[in-house]
Amino acid sequence: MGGFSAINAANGWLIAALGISVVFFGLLSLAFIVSYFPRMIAWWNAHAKAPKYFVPWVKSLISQPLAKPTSSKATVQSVEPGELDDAEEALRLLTAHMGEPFKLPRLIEVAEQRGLARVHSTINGLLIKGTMVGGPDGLFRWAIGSERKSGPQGVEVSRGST
Amino acid sequence: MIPTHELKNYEIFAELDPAELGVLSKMAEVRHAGEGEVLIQAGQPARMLYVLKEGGLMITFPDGRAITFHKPGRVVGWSALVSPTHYTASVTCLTDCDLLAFPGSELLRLVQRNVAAGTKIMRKISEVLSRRLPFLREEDKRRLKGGR
Amino acid sequence: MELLIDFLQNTGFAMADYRNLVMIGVGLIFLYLGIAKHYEPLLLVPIGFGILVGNVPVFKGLGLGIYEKGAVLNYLYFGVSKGIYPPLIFLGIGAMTDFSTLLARPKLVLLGAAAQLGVFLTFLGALFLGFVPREAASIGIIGGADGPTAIFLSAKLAPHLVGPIAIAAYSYMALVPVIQPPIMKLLTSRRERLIKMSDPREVSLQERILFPIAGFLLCCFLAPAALPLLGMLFLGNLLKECLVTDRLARTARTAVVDTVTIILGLTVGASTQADVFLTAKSVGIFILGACSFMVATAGGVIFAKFMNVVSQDKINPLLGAAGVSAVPDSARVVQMVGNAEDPSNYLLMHAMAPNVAGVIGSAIAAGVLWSFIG
Repeated sequence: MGGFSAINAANGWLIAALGISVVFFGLLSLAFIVSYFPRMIAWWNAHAKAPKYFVPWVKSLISQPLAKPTSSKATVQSVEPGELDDAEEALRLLTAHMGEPFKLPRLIEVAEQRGLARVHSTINGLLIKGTMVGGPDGLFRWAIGSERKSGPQGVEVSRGST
Repeated sequence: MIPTHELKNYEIFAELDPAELGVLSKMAEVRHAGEGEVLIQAGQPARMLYVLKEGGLMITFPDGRAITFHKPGRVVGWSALVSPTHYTASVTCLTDCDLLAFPGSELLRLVQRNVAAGTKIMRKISEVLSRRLPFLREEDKRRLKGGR
Repeated sequence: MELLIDFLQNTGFAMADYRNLVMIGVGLIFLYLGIAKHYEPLLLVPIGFGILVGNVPVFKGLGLGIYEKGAVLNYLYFGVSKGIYPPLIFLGIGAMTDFSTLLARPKLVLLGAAAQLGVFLTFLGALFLGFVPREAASIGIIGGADGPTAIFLSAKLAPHLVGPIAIAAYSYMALVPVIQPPIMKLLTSRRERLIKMSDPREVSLQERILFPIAGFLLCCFLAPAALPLLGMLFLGNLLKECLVTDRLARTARTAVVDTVTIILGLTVGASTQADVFLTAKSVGIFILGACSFMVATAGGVIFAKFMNVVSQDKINPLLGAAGVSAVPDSARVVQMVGNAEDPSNYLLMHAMAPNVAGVIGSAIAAGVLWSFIG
């Protein structure tokens, strides 16, 4: 059997209506009682003898002891200034072919293919120095003189330890 | 375990109280990555979220554009917390890096278990995302419209 | 030679027919979705592998199959058929859930209630399609988007449908980020999606301790049939919030829930054998299951819009979709859809309130259906 006759035979309409009503009533009642919690608790705290150690006890459970500090194993290797200048020159030659602005991952890929050593840290050094800058469009270019003085755009530079 | 006072220094965790930082410090792992290492590959399942401690990172998008991070506290791998559950960009280390790694599933459980703490972290991530470069936001929007 | 022939005739290769292969294919799809696509792997991997286990052809009478008395799988399946595992999972869920957003803004509970419309409308739809009332109720509860609740009710009312119902429920829970956003966008305007909600108030520890006790008493006095599920849910939550049983809470939300999830997934998957799953009824179950999720989402969103008409304190109607109790996935979907309109609009925290209310609502709905029809 199917169709509306099946629903009627099984009292489906009544079950569905009662069912959703019970769910609504139950959760509505729950919401109503929960909305009175702050008042109930305030009354209890004001009129009942709350254990005087309750709050400090809870605080002691919640607070966590600080862990022993661990030393960082960071070894950020920087490129020597002389090496950076040489590498900059090589990269400029590459970007002369690629054009500006250029895609940085592509520059890295081409530089590695050409056998340039430590391309990643070289580029990192150039970005921090402000020689190379990233734009808001995700493309990179070489900084002109005035930009280098004012700082790089679109690149976040660490100004010292945290 | 990472000291809680160290976590407090990072913008993403700046608003958490000591108890919440304590929970996070237990789930964090220190990750060292070498220069040139691909930390995150676009398209892979997004399991870990990373906070940069030291070093430089390059985030590469599928169309070849990129941004770089050099400041401690920057977050990568945020896809571990939001849909889709795969990384949408690749992250390569420009230098040897130290990072804090957080399992995305543990952070999501934190949201369920402690809504206040989870909310603070997620809100910070939302702020980070809203400050991102315009072309990235379009990418996010296209992906979000796809629903997954 | 005869021995060799006997042996070969008793291998799975000799006994397999096309239906076993189809179900093994279904199991492999589940494994692919869980492992490669990362769709609810904690559920789909055990279920997918369970389907493989249950569809290896075995010689009946050797005590190997899940339905054979004395078989290991049969003993493990006892927890499903007698409704033991779902309450244990609810214990873990209670121990890992923070109800503070619900306590801070109690009216959002009603969105969890509204989403249960999907349960009852699907119940009517199943009756319409010719399912008997016990089957229709078991199918309807899929709309509650709660796997343990769906398994619990179908084990009580229609045990022969536990497999397809569980698989439908968990499949659609995994697909919540696909199913919900189009419905949410269809039923809301951009202006409504941009509504920002004020931060909820601070909730005290005393409130968080009082809630599971009061909630349990109220809900179970109203719907006693929901006792096994809600009793365990609220116990788990009390263990978490009272702070003096932290070890028990931790065990409940880790070891207990993980152990039960593995066994539940494996046995539910293994119970999904070809002769039960590859039927017209299963197709009906899957269609109705999808409809129930959609109706539940729509019900929650529409009710939220209705609340905005009668109340001055506006809520973002997207929150209605979080009444579908796939925790925390539907809350994340709300966050995602709201964020797409305004990256500074942070809805996840607010969405957790109807999300967890939906868990309570679906358990009450299951209790009501069991008491009416059981």
